[in-house]
Amino acid sequence: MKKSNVYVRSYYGTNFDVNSLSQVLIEYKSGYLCRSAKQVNRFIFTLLFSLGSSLQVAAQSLVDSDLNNQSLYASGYITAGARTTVGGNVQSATAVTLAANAIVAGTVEAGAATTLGADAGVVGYIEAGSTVTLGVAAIVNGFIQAGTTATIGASAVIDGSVVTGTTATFDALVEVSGDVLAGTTVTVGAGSIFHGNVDAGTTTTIGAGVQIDGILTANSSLVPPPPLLVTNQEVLITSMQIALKDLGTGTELVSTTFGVNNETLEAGIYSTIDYLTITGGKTLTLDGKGVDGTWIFNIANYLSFAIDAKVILLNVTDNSTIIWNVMGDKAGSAGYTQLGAGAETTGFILAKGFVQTGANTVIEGIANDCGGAYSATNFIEFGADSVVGQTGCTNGMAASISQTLADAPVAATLDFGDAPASYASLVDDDGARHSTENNTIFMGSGVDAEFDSYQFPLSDDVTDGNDDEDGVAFVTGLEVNNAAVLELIASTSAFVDAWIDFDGNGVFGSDEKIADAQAVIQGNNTLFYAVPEWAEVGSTWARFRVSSIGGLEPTGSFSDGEVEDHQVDITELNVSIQYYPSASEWATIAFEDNWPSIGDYDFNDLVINYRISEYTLNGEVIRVKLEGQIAAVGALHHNGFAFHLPGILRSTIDENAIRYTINDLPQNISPLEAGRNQAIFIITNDVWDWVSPGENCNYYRTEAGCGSDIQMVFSMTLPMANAIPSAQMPEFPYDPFLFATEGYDHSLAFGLPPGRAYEIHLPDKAPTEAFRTDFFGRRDDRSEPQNGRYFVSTNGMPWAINVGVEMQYSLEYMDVIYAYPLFSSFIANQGLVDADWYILENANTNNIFSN
Amino acid sequence: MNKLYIFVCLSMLITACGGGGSQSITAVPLPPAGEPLPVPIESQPAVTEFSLEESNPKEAGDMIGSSAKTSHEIVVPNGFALSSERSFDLRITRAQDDNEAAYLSLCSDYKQYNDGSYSINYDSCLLRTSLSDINYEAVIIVTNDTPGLVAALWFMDESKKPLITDWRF
Repeated sequence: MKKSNVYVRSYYGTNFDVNSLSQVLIEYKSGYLCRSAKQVNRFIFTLLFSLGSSLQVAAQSLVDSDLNNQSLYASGYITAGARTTVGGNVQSATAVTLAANAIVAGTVEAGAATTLGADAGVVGYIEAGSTVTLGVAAIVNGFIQAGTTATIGASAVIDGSVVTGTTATFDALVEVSGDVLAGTTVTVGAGSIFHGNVDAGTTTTIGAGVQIDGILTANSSLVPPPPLLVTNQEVLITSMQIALKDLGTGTELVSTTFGVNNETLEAGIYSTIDYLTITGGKTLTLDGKGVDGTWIFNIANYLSFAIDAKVILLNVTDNSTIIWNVMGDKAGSAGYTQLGAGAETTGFILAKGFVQTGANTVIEGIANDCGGAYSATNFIEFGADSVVGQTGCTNGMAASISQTLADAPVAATLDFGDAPASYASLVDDDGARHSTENNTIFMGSGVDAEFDSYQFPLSDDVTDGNDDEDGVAFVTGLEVNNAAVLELIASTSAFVDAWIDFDGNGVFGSDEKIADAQAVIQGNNTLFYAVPEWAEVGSTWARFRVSSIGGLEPTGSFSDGEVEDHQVDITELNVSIQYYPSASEWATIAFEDNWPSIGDYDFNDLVINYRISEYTLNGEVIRVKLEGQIAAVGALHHNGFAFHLPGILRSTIDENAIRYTINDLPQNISPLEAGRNQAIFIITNDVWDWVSPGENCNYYRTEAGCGSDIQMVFSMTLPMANAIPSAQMPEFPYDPFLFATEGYDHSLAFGLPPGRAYEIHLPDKAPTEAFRTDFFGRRDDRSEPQNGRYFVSTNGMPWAINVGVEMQYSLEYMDVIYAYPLFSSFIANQGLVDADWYILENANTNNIFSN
Repeated sequence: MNKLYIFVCLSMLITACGGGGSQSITAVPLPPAGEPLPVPIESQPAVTEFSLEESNPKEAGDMIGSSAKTSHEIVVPNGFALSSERSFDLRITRAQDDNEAAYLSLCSDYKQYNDGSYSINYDSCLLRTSLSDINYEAVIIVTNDTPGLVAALWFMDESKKPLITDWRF
C-alpha cells in the first residue's frame, strides 16, 4: 500500500533538502536564534502580538499572519476521517490527527501532537509541539519535527529528516531519506533504511539488518531546536469576522424559510440574524453570471448543511470568492458549522466555533483555490471520505479574505422601489426610500439596499440577483368592482401604507390608497380591499411601504422600513386567466434552422423565451397576451418568428385594439399578418433587426465569451372581436414557428430565397397557409401531411423543441445531447422517463451557454 | 348555469327538510310518469373537494436505455412529438359552507411547512379565477418540470380562512 501511494508524492514538487536541514541545525547550535525565514517572521509576529494585541488586530491582515497559506486552522484540534483528503495546509493550536489513508497535500503544523493513521500521508512537512506518531505504512514527503517524541510505524516512509526533542522510535522496515536527530534516544526496528546521518543525544538502539548510509552517532553534540510554537489565532480571526460583518447587512435571509427549497443567489452580501441552514437534499445555486463576484454570508448563529445539501456554482468565474462568516454573535450562540453526510459546499468558512462534517462531505475552493475553514475557538472534524480542496489546489483563504476586505465598496444604505418614473422612485424625484441601517422592519424575507432606484424595466432584484420584493402576495386577482385580498408578511409589528394605481394614470392618488397606517403583526397579515368600478383594465403598479409609524406618503424618505413596488394586472369582473408555463416564468422554443436538412442539433439557431396568458369570461376567451424575448440567435440565416392560433380566423381578432410593444415601446405596425385567413401574429420578420452579436462574435448569445443583455423583449395583447369558446381554443403553447425572411437565401433545397413560404414548426404542428407544401419531403424532411406528421426527419427528430422553462441552451455547435444527457432517454421512453431533461439540474453546465 | 340552478334547488330542498349543514343529499323526488328522467343531481360534499387528475396518463413500461451518442443517432418512437407538457383535469366541488364568493389560484411554486401551513408564490400560477358556482372544472396544461401544484381558494369573507391543498407529481 505504501509503495503504491505515488499519489502523495506527486504533489510535492521539491523534497526537503537534507543538507540544508543539517546546515540549519548546525547554525542553530552556533547561536542562531531561528531556523528559517519563516520562523523569523513567526517570532517577530509573536513578539509584536504580545506587545499589544488590540493594535495588532487593527494592523494585522490574514496574509501577513501565520494563517497565510493555511487551508485549515483550528484553535482546538483537527481530525480527518479515514480516506479524507485535504488539498492545502493544516494548522492546529493543539493536535492534528489523520485517520487511516487520510491525506494532507500541504503541511501539518500542530501546537501539540500530530498523529497519522495507517497509510495516511502528508505531502509537506510535519511540525508538532509535542509528539509525532505515524501509523503503519504512513508517508511524509517533507521533514518531521517533534517537540518531544516521534514514533514511526512499520514500513513508513519519510522523504525528509526527522528531528525530535527527546526520542525517535522507528518500527521495522521504515525508510528515512534525510538525517535523524533525537535529543535523547534513537531506536530503530529491523530492516529499516536511513539515507542520512543518525544522531542521538544519549542512546541509539539499532535492530537487525538496518542500513544507515550516513554516520550513526550516540552522545551527539547536535541539539534539537525547541518545540514549534503555533500561535492561537482567535483574536485575529475574530477581527476578520467583524471586518466582514462591517461590510454591511446586505440582504437578510430569513432562517426559517431560506434553504427549505432549492435556492439561487447572485453575488452579494447576505446576512441572517439567526442560523443559515440548507435542508437535506436541497441545493443553493450561486449564480455568478460570468463575472467576478463575491458572496459573503454573515451568519449570527450557526451554519448547517444537512445531509446531501449542496452548493452549486453556476457561471462563477475563477476570481470569485465565497465566504461563510459564522459569527456566533447571537446571544448564546456557539457559532458552529456542520455539514451532514454527503453535503457539499464551496469557499471559505470562518467560524467562531467548531466545524464538523459527516462522511463524504466536500468543501471545495473555486477553481484552483483550496476550500478552507478556520475555527477561532474550537475544533475541526471531518468525517471519512471527505474532501477539502481539490488535488493540486493552491491555498488562498487568507489572501482571498484579505482581498475581499480591501476591495469592498462602500455599502448602500437605502432601499428603493422600482416602479416607473411617473410614480417617483429615484432620489432626484424624492422617490420612496427607507434606510436599511440597523433596520429590522421589512416585508418578506428581507430588504436590500441600493444607491438609487432601478426603475422599471430595470429592477434591483435583477441587478443584484436578490428578490426583496417578496413581502406582498396578491392572493386574489384584481377585478374591476370586486373585493380583493392580499397577504403581507411583516418582519415585526409595524404599519403599512399602500396604493394601487387603479386608474392607470401613472401616479398614486389619494383615492388609490388601500392601506393607511394599517397595523400589521409579525408574520402573515391578510388585507382586504376593494377594486373600484372606475379601475381601468390592464397592467398597473402598486406600492407598499412598511415603517415604524405609518402614515407615509407614496414618496419621500423614512428612517426605517421598506418599500416594495409590484406590477399588477386588473381584469374585468369574473375573468379567468390561464398561463403557460406560469404567470411569471418563461417557456422556451429552440430551433434548428437548417430545415429541410439535418443540422448540428445545438438547437440554438433561434431561441425564444415566451409566456402566454389567456383571459376567459363566461367560458369564452376574450383576450390573449403573448410576451417573450429573443434569447439567442446562433445562425447567420435571417429568420422571422411568429405565433399562429390554429383553428382561429384572422377576423376573430380585434386588430385595432391590439397593443404591441417591443422593448416597452409601442409598435405602429399591426402584428396580425395581413392577407391571411388564419390568425398569425408576426413578432418580427427578421430577428437580426433587433439583436446583434457581441464584439468579435459571430452570433447573439451562443458562443463562449459572447454574452450580452437581452436585446429584444416583446409584449402583445390580442383582444378578440368575437370571443372564442374555450373548447375551440388551441392548446398551449399554440403554434409558435420560425419563418424565413423575405429576400434572404435559406437553403440550397429551394434555389431562390423561400421567404414567407418557409416555416419550421414544432413536430406534428401543421404549417400555416403561407407555407409551400411542396417543400415537404425535400432533403431530410419526412413529413407526412396526410398522417398529421410534420417537420420530422427520417429518425423522427424535429427541427424545433419546446420546453417549460427558461432553458439554458447549448453552446454553439454543441449537440443538445452533450448539454442535456437525459435528452435521448426522454425520447427513447416517449417522455415517461426524464420528462424534465431540460432543467438546469440535468445540464452539463460546461456545455451550455452562460451569459 | 344549469348546474348552478340545480344546486340552488338542492339548497332549498335541504332547507325544507330541516337538514343542511354539511350533510350530503342524494335523494331526489321521482318525476311524474312518462317524463324523461332529470339529470342526476350530484351531492354537495361535506368538505370542499379538490381533484387534479392527468387527462390521459400514459402507462409506464420497462425503461428503455438509449445508446445514442449524438442526436443524429436518436430514433424517435413513432408518434412521439417530444411534448414537454401534460394535461390535467382540475375539479373543485365546494361544500355548502364554502359556497360563497371566492378566488382560486393554482400555482407551481410553493412550500409546505411542518405545521401544515403553506407559502405560495402567486407569480407562479397557472390559473387564476373567480369562483361563483359550486362546481368548477378546468383543463390545465402543466409543463414536465413542474414538481407539484397547489390550489388556494380565498374567500372574500374576512372571517373565512383560505382552503389550500396540493399535489406532488
